[in-house]
Amino acid sequence: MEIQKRNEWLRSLLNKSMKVKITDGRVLIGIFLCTDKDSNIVLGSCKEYTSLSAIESDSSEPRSIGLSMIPGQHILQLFTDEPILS
Amino acid sequence: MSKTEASSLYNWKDVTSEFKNSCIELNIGELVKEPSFGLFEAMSAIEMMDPKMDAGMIQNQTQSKIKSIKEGIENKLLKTDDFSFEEKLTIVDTTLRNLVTWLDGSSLAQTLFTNLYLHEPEILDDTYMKNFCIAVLKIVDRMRNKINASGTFEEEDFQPLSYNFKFAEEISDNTVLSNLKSAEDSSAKIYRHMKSEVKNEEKKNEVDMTYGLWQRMRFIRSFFYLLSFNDEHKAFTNNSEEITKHINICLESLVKVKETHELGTKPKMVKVGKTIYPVVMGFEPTINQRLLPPTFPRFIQIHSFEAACEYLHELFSKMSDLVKVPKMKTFDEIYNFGLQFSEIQSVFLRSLFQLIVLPRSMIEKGMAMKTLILNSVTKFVSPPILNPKCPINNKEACLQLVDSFLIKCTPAFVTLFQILGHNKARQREKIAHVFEEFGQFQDEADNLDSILHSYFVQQKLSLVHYGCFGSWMLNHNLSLMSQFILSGFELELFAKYECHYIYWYLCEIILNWQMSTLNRVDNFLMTNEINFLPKNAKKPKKRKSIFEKESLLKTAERHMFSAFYQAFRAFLIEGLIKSPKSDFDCEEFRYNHRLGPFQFFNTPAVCLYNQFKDKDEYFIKAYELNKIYGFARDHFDMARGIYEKHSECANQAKIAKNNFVVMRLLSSGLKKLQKIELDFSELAYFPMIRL
Repeated sequence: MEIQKRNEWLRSLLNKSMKVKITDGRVLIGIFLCTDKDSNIVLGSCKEYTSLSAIESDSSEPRSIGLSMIPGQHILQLFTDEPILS
Repeated sequence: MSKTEASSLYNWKDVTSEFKNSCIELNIGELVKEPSFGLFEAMSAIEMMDPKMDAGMIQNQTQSKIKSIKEGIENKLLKTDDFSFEEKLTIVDTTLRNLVTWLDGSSLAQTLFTNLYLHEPEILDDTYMKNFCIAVLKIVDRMRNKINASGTFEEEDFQPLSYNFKFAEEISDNTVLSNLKSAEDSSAKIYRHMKSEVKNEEKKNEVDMTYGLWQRMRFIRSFFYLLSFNDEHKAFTNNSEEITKHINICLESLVKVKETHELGTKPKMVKVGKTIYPVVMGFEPTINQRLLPPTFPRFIQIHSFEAACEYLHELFSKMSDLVKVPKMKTFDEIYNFGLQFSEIQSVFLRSLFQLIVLPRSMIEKGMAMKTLILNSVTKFVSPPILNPKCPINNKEACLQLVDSFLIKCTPAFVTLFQILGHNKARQREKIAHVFEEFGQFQDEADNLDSILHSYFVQQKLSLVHYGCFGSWMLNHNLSLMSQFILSGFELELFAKYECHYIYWYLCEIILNWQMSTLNRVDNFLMTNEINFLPKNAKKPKKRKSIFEKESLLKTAERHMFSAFYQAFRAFLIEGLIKSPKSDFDCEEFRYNHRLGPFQFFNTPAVCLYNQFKDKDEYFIKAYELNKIYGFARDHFDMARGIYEKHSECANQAKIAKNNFVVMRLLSSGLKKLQKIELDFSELAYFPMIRL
């Protein structure tokens, strides 16, 4: 069933790195630990960057915030880390 | 994480819609997670975009125009030279405000390091500003060093984190001192030049401003000098004149600084979150926000300039009090001074006091403390064994015994002294912990006395040695117990319905013992004084006790505590003080909780609740209410009689007199009371009773 497949796909993302862009422009990179129906996400070992450009230009140090919870309604974009196939 | 690292480590794929669609399919309350992940872990997660928990939220920070000092200079928002006089004055004054706010317990990140010039003072071209900034960094570093060295603080007093900020370590103290001297001289020159050049009234402001700048440089130089000693113990003993001179310079120039404050540019008041910050060129209140842990107080109040000046004035006045300390040679003197002194809120001053009295190294601390204790014992009880004229045979061996006793006691005394460095609330908590050791020392002291006395008896000397060290230790312990209880009053710990057994314990047990101890010591001193005289000498006339004043004041105190016990007991009977409902209350538990820490003392043996209750019940059964008020009235009267003869006890005399009048009224039985008012504001342990 479709739902089963989606569920399995979500589970496959657990304990992997995830990048989340939130509504005020900040970007959080952490380990995906938990989610629910409203797409609230719990990230572990989370680092906060002030913006997407900040990561690339390396202009600011990330702030380590440890365990964080991002409410679903504040998520603009979600990225997962795909292994590079040679 | 560097750019190359980041880009080679991650390969991001946008899965936003896929993710959201998958999530929608979940049931309400269904979670996708590892089985090992529990909600207990999730509980401590910081919720993003919640203003209370999310420190990095953009709306929690002002749009700081400057992200770093270099950026500020590039964007021409920060000057490095050609500061106007107004600008210099206001930057200096705002820095001082931040310094005081830090000293009062806030973090460096939210106070001093919101001044971007302090991040990199070498970048400044203006010598005045550069020297000032370097001096401030050095001052802060030294203060931090002293507070950490003393180690007598808790998290409510001081934040030790320095967030990797630099404190101009590369520049030596001597260089800074000489730079400051030349900066001071050149500011003085500029002022005098201005003064002679400027003739018209319009430019008077300029003259005053250069004067103000000169005075600020004087202040900073003397301030730094006072902190530049590495060995405070030695410095305050040997250089007290220099130190006093510089303290006076600080106090004088502070007055002038305050007078010239208005001439600087007015800081812009910027609202950040719920607080308003003073912002002047060079300051960015929220620049370090990201460094703070999420639970930190997010925004703090920077002290006003008047408050900052007052704080600094108090700091230097109290520092001049500390100059007297090296002259104190006995532990008791220093400890009593310290009790008074530690009422100050300033953790820096408390730390400085610690460092002045005891050297920094552990070994030297012990040696210094042993001397202080020895001096105390000698002054209090004049042990015959320590008298050079003592004709005992095995003096060496005896002195060894005394020495090992003192060495045993020393560490506990060091701990006791260090407790004085903490704030009042922590002091009380920590004193309760040392009781056990001091209880043991009592036994050791008695042991030592009996050994020494047995030698005296063996060698048929008429000198006595019983109750010597023992009495000293006993007196010391009783003072500690007293301090413990009285600090309970100062910290407002006792409920009104508890006061009666507290006062009872104070007068019947503690003060009772203390007065008989003083009496005993007096007789002891008298006996040995006679015994040291050559056989044919005239017996000296009966002289006044050396403890006369102390005994008298303790007698007065005892009368007061007695009176309060009786008064409070009567109030309880009459219902003027409400006691808790008996279903929910057990007076025995309360009594044991309050007086529990005393169980470690063998002398005086702790008075158990049932013993107290017996005496208490007997008392209230034996006398009717009017008589009880009558006793209280008489005790207040006797206390008043003593206090009125001593001018330093004016407060106590006033309270005694007032309460005497009230008790007289109550004992006559004429007035039927509805309620009474207890005013603890004058003296925390002697309330004023009002109808």
